[in-house]
Amino acid sequence: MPVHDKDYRENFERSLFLTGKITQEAAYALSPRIKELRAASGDPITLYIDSPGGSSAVAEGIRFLIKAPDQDGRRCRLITVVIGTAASAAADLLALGDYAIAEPQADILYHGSRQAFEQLLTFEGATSVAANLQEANERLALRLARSSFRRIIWRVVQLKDAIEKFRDGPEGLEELVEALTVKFTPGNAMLLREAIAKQKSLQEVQTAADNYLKKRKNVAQWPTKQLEPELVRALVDYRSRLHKEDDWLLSRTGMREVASDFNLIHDYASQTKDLDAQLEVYGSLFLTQAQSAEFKSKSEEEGKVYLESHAADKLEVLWYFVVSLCRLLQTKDYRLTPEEAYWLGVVDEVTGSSLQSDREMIEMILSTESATRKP
Amino acid sequence: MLDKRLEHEQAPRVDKRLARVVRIIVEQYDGDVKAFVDSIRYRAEVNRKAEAASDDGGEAPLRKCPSTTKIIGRISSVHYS
Repeated sequence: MPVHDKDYRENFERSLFLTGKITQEAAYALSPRIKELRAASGDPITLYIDSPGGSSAVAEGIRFLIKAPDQDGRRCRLITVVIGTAASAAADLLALGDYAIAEPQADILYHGSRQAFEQLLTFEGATSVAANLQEANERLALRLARSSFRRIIWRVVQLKDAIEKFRDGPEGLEELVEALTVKFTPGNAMLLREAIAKQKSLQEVQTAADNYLKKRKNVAQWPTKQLEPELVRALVDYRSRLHKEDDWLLSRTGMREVASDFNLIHDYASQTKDLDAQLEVYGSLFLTQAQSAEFKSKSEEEGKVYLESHAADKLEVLWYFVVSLCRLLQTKDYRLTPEEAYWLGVVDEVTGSSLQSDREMIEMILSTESATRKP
Repeated sequence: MLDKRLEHEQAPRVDKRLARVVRIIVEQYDGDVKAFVDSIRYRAEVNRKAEAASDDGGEAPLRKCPSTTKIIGRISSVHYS
């Protein structure tokens, strides 16, 4: 008998429907049912989505309420299912599910944060709104990257020849992404190519900053208070060299560029804890055959060290690529088919398709084990 | 800067079941995800047929699932013959 794992299955009995615009009223209407489901058990809650979007803050509020711990610290897993449209804030909510499912007829649309105004804006007001929107985009991009990273790992390891080259070294990333682009319409494939360019420029900034800081003594022991100003100096140095032929001044656009580099490095680096955890689980998928044979002979502790030295750099460039991709998703309109959403790591599964999913892999292993246990 | 809640939010939990899947793929399939998926799909199909045969009250010659090595052998012979 096939074994079903409830952590990877939609469950109508424990479900909510988010349809129409995401407003505070919609959240008020869902809250009692969310509390009821959470009180009944710690089993996953399924959220069916058919929404053109709305308030990102409200969407986040709904997600936090579903996932909030109860008095015993128990949290429900969130399974999101797009049954019609998931646009804007609804698309973010879909991707942020612990397990995200798209039905074949679904339509998924991404774009950056927007804000509507009823009154005239002053210069100061417009500047503050622009800063808020940028901050909202960055915040969402990082959240999205955190939930998409695992999915993208499972996608790229399916790209047979390209993954072999990437296993040889992180410089194979471009070829890996190129192999991924064939799964997309030309317009959406551009998104992947732009993400590669963005990832490269980020790596350049990071390398330049690293090289500058390496010249300082015991920099690893420096307190943040001391390190941050030095990082700013490194970035000023990098940008000055980059623009040495131009009429470039800090007082014009320079300071903004330096600030943007600084925030970028800070935000990316703040996610390295996630990367360590992912390395432990998925790192071995990024070893060459020879490395893999060597890895198998290692003890658990030795294995961790081995992955750190043989797979971490590949996972790191992939992580930078995923964050770059998610940042770009927040900048323009991108309409995705369910299959494209799957290859982009927005969803885990497309129902009725032959695309492999975590559920299929896990349930088959459970079924095999259950059959073996039978007398 | 970033929303404070992002920092406090739990990092996505590492799923132990997926960690096991990765171990199986690396140890038994040399990291070949496609071979693993083909194998589990083949196995599922065999089991489904066996169950159908058993439901019909007839013999169920395929009830016992072949070993992984045998499955890979069959897939390889289909793919490369």
